[in-house]
Amino acid sequence: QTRTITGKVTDTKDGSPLPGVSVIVKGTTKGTVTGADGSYAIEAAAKDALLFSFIGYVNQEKAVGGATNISVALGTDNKQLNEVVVTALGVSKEKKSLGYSVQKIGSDELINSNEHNVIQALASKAAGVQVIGSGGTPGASTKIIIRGNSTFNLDNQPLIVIDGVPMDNSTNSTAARNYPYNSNLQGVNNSNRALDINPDDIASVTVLKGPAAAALYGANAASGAIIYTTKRGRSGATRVTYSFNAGFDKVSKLPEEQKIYSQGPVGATPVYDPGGTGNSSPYSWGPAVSSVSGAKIYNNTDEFFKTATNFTHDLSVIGGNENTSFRLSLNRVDQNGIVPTTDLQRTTFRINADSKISERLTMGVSASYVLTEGTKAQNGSNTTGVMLPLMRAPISWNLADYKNADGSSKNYYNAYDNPYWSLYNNPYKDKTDRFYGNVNTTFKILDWLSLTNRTGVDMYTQFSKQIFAIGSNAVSDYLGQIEENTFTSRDLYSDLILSGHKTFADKLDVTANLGGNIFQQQGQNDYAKGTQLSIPNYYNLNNASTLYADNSTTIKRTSALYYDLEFGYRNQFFLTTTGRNEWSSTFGQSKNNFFYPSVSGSWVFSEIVPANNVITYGKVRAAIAAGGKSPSVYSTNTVYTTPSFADGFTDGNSFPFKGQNGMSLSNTLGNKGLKPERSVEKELGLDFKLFSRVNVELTYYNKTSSDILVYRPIAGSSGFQYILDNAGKMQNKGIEVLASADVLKLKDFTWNVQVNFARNKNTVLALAEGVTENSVESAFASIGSYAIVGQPYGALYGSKWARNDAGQVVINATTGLPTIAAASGNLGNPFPDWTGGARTTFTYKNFTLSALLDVRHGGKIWNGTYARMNNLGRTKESADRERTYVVPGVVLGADGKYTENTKTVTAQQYYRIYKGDAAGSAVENSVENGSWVRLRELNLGYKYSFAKSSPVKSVELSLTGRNLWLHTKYKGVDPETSLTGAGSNLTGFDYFNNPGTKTYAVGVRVGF
Amino acid sequence: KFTEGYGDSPNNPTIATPPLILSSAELGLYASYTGTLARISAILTQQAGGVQAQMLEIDQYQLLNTAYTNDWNNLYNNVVQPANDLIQNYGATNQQYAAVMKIMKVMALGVATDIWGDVPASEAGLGNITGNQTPKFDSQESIYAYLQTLLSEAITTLDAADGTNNYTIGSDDFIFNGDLKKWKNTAYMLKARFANRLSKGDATGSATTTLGFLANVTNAGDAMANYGTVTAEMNQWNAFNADRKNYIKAGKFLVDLMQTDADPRLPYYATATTGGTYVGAAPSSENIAASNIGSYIAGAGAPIPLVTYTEALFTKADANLRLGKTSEAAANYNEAVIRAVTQVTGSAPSATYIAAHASATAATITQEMIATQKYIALFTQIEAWAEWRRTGYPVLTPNPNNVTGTSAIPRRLPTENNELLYNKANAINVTDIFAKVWWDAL
Repeated sequence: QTRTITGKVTDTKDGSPLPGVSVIVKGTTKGTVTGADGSYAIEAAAKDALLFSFIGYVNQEKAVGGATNISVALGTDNKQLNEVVVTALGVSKEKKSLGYSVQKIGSDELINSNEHNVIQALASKAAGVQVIGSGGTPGASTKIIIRGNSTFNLDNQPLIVIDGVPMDNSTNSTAARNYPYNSNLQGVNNSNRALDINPDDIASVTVLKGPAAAALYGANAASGAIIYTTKRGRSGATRVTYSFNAGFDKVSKLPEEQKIYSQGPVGATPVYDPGGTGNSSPYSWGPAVSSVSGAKIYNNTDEFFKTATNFTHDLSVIGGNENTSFRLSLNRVDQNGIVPTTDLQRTTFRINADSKISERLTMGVSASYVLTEGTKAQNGSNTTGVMLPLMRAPISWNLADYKNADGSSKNYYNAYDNPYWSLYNNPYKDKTDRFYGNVNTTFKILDWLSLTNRTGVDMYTQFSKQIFAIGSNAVSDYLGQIEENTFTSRDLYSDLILSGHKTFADKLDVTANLGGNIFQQQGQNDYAKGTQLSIPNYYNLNNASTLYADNSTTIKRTSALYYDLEFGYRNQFFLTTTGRNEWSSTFGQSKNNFFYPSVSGSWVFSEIVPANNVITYGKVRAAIAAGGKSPSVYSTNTVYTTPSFADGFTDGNSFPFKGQNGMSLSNTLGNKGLKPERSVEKELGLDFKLFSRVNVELTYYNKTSSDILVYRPIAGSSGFQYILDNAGKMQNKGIEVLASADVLKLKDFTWNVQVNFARNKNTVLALAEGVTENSVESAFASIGSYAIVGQPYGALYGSKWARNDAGQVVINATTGLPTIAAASGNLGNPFPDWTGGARTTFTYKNFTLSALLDVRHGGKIWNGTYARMNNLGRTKESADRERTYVVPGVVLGADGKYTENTKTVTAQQYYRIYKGDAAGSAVENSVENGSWVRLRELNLGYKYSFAKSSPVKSVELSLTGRNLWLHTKYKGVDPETSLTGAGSNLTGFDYFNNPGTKTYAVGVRVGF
Repeated sequence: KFTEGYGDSPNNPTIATPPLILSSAELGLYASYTGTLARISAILTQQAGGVQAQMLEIDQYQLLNTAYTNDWNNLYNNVVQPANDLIQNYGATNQQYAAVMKIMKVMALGVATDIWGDVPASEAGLGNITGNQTPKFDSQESIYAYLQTLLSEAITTLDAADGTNNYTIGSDDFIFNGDLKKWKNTAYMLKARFANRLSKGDATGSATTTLGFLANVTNAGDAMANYGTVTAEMNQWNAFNADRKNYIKAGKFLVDLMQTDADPRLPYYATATTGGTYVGAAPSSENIAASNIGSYIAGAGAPIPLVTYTEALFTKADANLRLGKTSEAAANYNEAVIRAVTQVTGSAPSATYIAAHASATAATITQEMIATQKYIALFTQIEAWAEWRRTGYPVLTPNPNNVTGTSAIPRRLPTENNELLYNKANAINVTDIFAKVWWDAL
């Protein structure tokens, strides 16, 4: 028998009402929020318990019993404990009952990051979560990895869930199906589609790190899950909040350039080349500009990057009565990039509404429409790119004078497009219309038993158009090209969950959820290309003399049955077991279902410790779970494809060819015997609180993935290059530390410190039988990314200097230069040894000052940019060229002994071969340490509340800085960089990547 | 069941047709004969100069075992495998297709063994048929025998009356447009090519065999890689020059030789520089101002020779000379030179040129003359590198600034790295790029 419980929530400090406090019936998804006067009303039964939670306050739990009015006073305290967190399938649980580690991040932390991408906004805020941005251009994707990589070729990113329903976070890149290369290596910095989420709509984020936490989501969450919960309405007076934020972005870091020597070819005697033709020298080994009459120095790079602007408007309305509440929001982002012409516009509209239809039936709806569009810039190895022609340009050439009288590109070396000309003439634009939302229905069958259905849809159409103008080097015949690509994605998801909660003998709490799920992911990709354009600056496909089109459709279906059973004894012992059996269409004829069990438990040992002031809370927890992944779609058959024939230098020949089509078997053998990939994770943790003000959470985990689904490379002579197979084993083990302390708590002044630290050690334990090295994904001929037995996954792999047994570099006595070892090999791990974040927050009256320091230790990056700049004579260090060098190393004498090298080489040889990437160089010389320490965020806020009668209720002002300080030895752009973005498993590649940014922002928020 | 019936791709078929596979394999063959392997051959024989980036690495003999995986894979994935697929799965009812595919398979395996020595052949490209993912490496000697067998089988099929053919070869055959007589002729030219290659071991025996095959060869038509005009159909030397401007140039040795000879082919082999002259890039010169590869090879739609009657004539001259048939050799040589020039320039060479370079007699003809003119005629063909290794002509000076520290021109590529990694039990690891392949060491 349920009845309406009412009450009021106040602040212990001054007795003032607390609006916005979450009131939840424990163990269910049912809840409400307190109104402006702190009051609430909720349906509950005598056996229920109510959980009151509010960010920054200690949660409270109250048994309902016979009461009809339950009022509580919440005290501000450290917020790490007794929290209620949203776990898998949208079930709220008390954090102390969890046997595994989850981490919750609040709304303010997202908003204050000043990032438009909700994935990027998580950077350095959660232990064990690595966020890898791909550069400072608007909309550039961000990759996220939790507790290391666990699979070789499939997606290593977690499932993104919003309000209980998975959300597509694909990174779609525009490329023809027959494009012969890895499309992540070329083109623009594409967006990951979580970009479509408005950070201002998010109430909280829960990071479910391991399979134990995410097991109920099945294969999609085998790499963890990130659960975004949006802000909802509440009963009470309608309130309107408007905020405006203006940000100014600047380029953060660039490789240092020499500003002395002019364009000129390689040679003993410097010769000035005035540039401008296809046969001009691409080098900067000419004489000093000051010595050439008529030549002058241009600050091309400084003038190229501009100060970008970044405006966000957000309007939200919340309100409701006892039965119905709503929240409406409208958000608009207008961003320009530091690279001219690049921009991003995003408009999001969201409505969340909840209604109690009858005593037993409640419904909620969340719906969001998003329009995201922008103009992107070319990235990476690209003759029509931005950074490539910019960083290579000699200082004696004026890049800003970018076009000839006929409008064609004017460049120092016209094998590359002038970067300005390329930006103005070769735009890439994309536009995404997206609708996503869900309907949530709960029917209370009995006091202790309810049935919930959650049905969601996520659909979007991303349209992209890449134009290459007539004359651009992007197309071999210089006749221009139009590419149009439409991605349509439509995901349908539905859960039906039967939930029960009972307390026995006032000691034993039993909560059970039993459910089923169906999930269909459908994608359609339509690509069209027109080449040989006739009319300049006219970009319809009907302007093309040759047309090419292709398309593909994928449907993936899964269904599942699952349960979640939790026992709590005396609020001290908790034991949870879950299981999920999932069927997937991607196995084809082979075994198509698999089971994921988990068991976890916690013991709140402080319950038996005599009351004291030292240890005020303590809990140990342990969990073990099995997760897994199913194969990607359509990989069981060996199929015919329409191939392309390219050797790495040109786009090659492809079909249709002279009016004929052609097909041959794909280079990947199908496999009808695929099994699910399995991973077993064990986790142990200790949470405690000292002196009521220091919170510590320690976690150790050990995750072993086996039968990994891998595109196992096979010898090319078999006629194939890969087979999708269950092969290999990989381990991630590590520790995570979360600590926070209220260092000072005075009446008007508080000082809080939060620290997170994570260390993950990844080891590839085994590959296919007899195989010790596996390419992860196709990369460059000179450098790749490999899984090597005994080494961390994703190791950079390429040519090395020959060394003697003592490890000394062996120098060729005749040339004075090192020689290249016969075998290529491991050049280092691109993932960090450890990462850490430290936030310190000071509040004084209405002022808040907060700083977030971000540390990344280790993690190698291939700085291909710098190596090429050395080769070209463009780096600052290469200006020291009017002398000879001796390469450190040893020379093998006739007596078979090694002696120190004394042979000198020219500065050109030194920088081009030993320090650069000219013929004779080993790529190991350009692999650098990507460690950093940075001031990720700095925020100063001021909040003023007006009297109740005032039409304006509150005003908040903020000053935000992002990446204001960066310390790194990395010689390139900001080392938080990724050539290949979130759509790829390659990490640690920097080849003319677009640079990162730093931001200064001001914001105002007004509550009406 | 909710998940059933969604396992098969709507995007890719599991069966194809012989014309589709033939077209695909021909482009695969094009890629091998006109791509990186051809550039390696041209640069190492100094027909061309690599002046930047990866081409400069070749020029300096930096030939790593990871660098040519694409080219290795192309031979096996895009020619040998489709050939086996067609022969095995469609060949019984399409015997002519199967025969043509055997000839193309020989063209692929011939290049593979000449460049990499002992390579997989008899078990290669069967991953989908036998499931063999680790083919054994055959000795080059046995591969040369295997090539002859495959060609003989193809010739037998093509000689036979129609046979069973559900499909008729036509415009899906970019090389001969379905003219099977020309394919048969090509098979004989290839038989002669591979027989003559064994001259180091058995000078006269190989000559006799070669001439036996050449007796079946006519001027029926050269096997050419024919291209179209749009980007997907572009001549790949042209595409390379566009996409990798100033990476490769005409070679100094060849340009100088042709200038000395007043060879009328020079303007077709090389473009004039801005100064109006023809300049070849010397090894390690990094001379990006040198002449580009000319329109005969690198024109937008220019066909590129694969196997030609000109080559057969030079081979004939070479074989006759070894048998002491000097007057036949001289006649073959003169005919070959005139045909070679005519084919490039469109008109017969001048009387002066003929007097100087195509008027050999029984008394004057030498192997060096034949080899040198063949070297010019085989401009950018992989065959030029093999023939230089076989004859030692023309005499080339190794790049003195090469990165190996050895004063010699590479004679093979190192064993491909993926074979070392994934076919470990079978791969024969050769790292010495100066080591001679079997026929070179005879």
